[in-house]
Amino acid sequence: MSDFRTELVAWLEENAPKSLHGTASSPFQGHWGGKSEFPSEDHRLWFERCLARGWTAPNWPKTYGGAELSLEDARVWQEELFKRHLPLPLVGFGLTMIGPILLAAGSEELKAAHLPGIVSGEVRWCQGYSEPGAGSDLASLRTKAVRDGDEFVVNGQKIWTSHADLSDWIFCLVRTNDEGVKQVGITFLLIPMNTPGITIRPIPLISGASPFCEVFFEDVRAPVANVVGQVDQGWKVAKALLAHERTMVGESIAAGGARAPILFTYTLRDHAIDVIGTDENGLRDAAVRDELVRSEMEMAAMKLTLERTKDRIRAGDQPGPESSIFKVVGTELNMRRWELALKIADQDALGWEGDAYSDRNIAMTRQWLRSRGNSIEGGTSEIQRNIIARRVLGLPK
Amino acid sequence: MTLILNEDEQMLADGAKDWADNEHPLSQFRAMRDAGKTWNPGLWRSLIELGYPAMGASLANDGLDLGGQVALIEPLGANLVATPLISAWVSALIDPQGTDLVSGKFSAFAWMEAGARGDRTASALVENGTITGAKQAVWDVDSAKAIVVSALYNGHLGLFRVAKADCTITALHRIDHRDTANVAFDGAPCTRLAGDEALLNTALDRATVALCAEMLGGMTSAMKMLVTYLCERRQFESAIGSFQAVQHRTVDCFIEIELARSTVLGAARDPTPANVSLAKARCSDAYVLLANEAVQFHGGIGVTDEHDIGFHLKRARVCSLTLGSSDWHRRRWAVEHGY
Repeated sequence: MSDFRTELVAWLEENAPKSLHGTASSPFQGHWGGKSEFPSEDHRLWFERCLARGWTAPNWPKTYGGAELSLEDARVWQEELFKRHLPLPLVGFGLTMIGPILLAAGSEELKAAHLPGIVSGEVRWCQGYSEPGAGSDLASLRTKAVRDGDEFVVNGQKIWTSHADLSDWIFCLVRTNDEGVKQVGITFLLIPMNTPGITIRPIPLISGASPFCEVFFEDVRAPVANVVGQVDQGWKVAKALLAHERTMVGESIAAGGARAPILFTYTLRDHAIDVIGTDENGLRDAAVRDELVRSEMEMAAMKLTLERTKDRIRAGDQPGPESSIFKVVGTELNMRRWELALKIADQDALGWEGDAYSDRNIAMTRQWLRSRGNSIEGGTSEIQRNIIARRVLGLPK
Repeated sequence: MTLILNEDEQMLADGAKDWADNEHPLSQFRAMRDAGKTWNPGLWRSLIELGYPAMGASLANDGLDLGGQVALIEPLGANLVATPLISAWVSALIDPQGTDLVSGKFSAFAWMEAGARGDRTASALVENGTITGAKQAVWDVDSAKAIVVSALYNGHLGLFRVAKADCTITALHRIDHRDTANVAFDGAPCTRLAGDEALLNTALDRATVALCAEMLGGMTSAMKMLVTYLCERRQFESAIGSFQAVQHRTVDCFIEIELARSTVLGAARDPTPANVSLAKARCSDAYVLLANEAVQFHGGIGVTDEHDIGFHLKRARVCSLTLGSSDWHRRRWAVEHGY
């Protein structure tokens, strides 16, 4: 065992509240920070103990409150948490999206102003990219920011903004220049959500949940000092983040999916065996058995591919071309698995609510509905394939 | 366990790729086929001189390192090099006395019977020191010194060496033009070897991993031919590779190769039955997909004998049905996982 692992295991033994063990169904669950409340006193305790060690942002610089763990140790940290099904002390777009961007491209002033609030969980961030007229063709976005002295005046609308209603700040792409190529003239701007002129409207989804919002900007004023990178050069900043997001989506699905594709420790395989039963030929329904085995084997192949990428990074390489496939494969596989879960559950899969259906079956059905967005959000499967075709395979435009 | 090649393995892979690209481009395979041959003794000799048979079996403690074999075989598969390398490695496991990897001496492995569809059971029977039965599609009989046969003996499966002169060998002319033969035994004298059913399974699983690496080379080569053609061929005043319908299907081919590569490394590092089946099922389907799509996107030229892509189409089909089809391996995976 590595020194860090030994130390961590001992620390967790001492400091991770017993009531939290076994409560996280994926390695990406945890406290979202900002206005969100802790479900229990133990959750708060867990968060504060981690915060004191810099483990809310394990691999960030100590200057900003992180623990400066190496990539390897940060992985050990996640592994040990997930082994115990412990929630992460902190999750959210601050930590996974705007934080890394500021670390890579932000000025010292912006880093000092924003990173500590992310690490401490005080500030929750949301992402303002998509617009009604700018989805897959993101660069055609039209939310306008006009310079007025030291400020920008922003007018327009963002859509599919996850948890805008719960967030304190938004990182936005705004149009600052209409001339030339549409990718040029976009600026990466940070705006507090309580600025006058911002209106938020949640969008209910087919699953009944409502994580997404529309955000309207009407003469919203934001200081020019809140620009990340250069004015008119925000597309470059955003693009780096998109690549990061896509790997993350694939990873979360594979990591969650491999261990807990349905609900927590209840796997798709268990579900099939429970509902359909086995005889001397295996699962009693040969067609479902074939579908299940294909799905399980694809998941195993996906997991190995993620491992391969990590091995490559550990050996000092860049992530290889294989990393570009995670978003497409991960989301499409996940969606097929939910469909298979429903097929296995048969009539029990069709409930929306009510006592006639178990909580597990309702959750399964709702998650299937939610999964239909997986191949759309964060770059559709079709856009992903365009990108792989051009950038990885070098096919002509 | 790491899913990338280590330094030694990478050196083997680079060397094999250089050799294959310089000494055995695809045109060499075509020349052999046109001459009506199924393997090339000169080629096999040069691989022996390079030490490949011995290298693939010398890196690990147990004397049979799959990482090295995978590294060596993939580049050879890319250029459809027809050699008995995998048979030689299998022979080192099942017939160590009859095998000398330094001189290239090995025994062919006759295990599959008619109608077995991938199953490894045997009905060939050993009684009073002689063997009677028939085996199907045995690899590399022509280049082998002897034949090892799986057969029933006192109700158990065992391995037996038979001299080639005591067998009826019927060479097969198959779509991939490789050295393959049906072998029949009618009271042929045989020598009992040490192995049992467990060794048979180990040997076949290891052969399967090596075959997967060959398929990985084949599909990667088909992909390269495909992408090159998509950039060159113009219709409607554009390179056909600029059409989205074509691009998306090509990306799906790429995805299959990347997933397949991970499973091959996974099986090489830890050749459990489940891991081997994962790799074989994936590689069989991926190589066939790649060959099918590559032929489709080549259009008319793709179905001519003149173009090399057809060689991959044929080899992919043979590999996919060799050592268990993807269906066979999916069934085994399910059994391994209790359903």
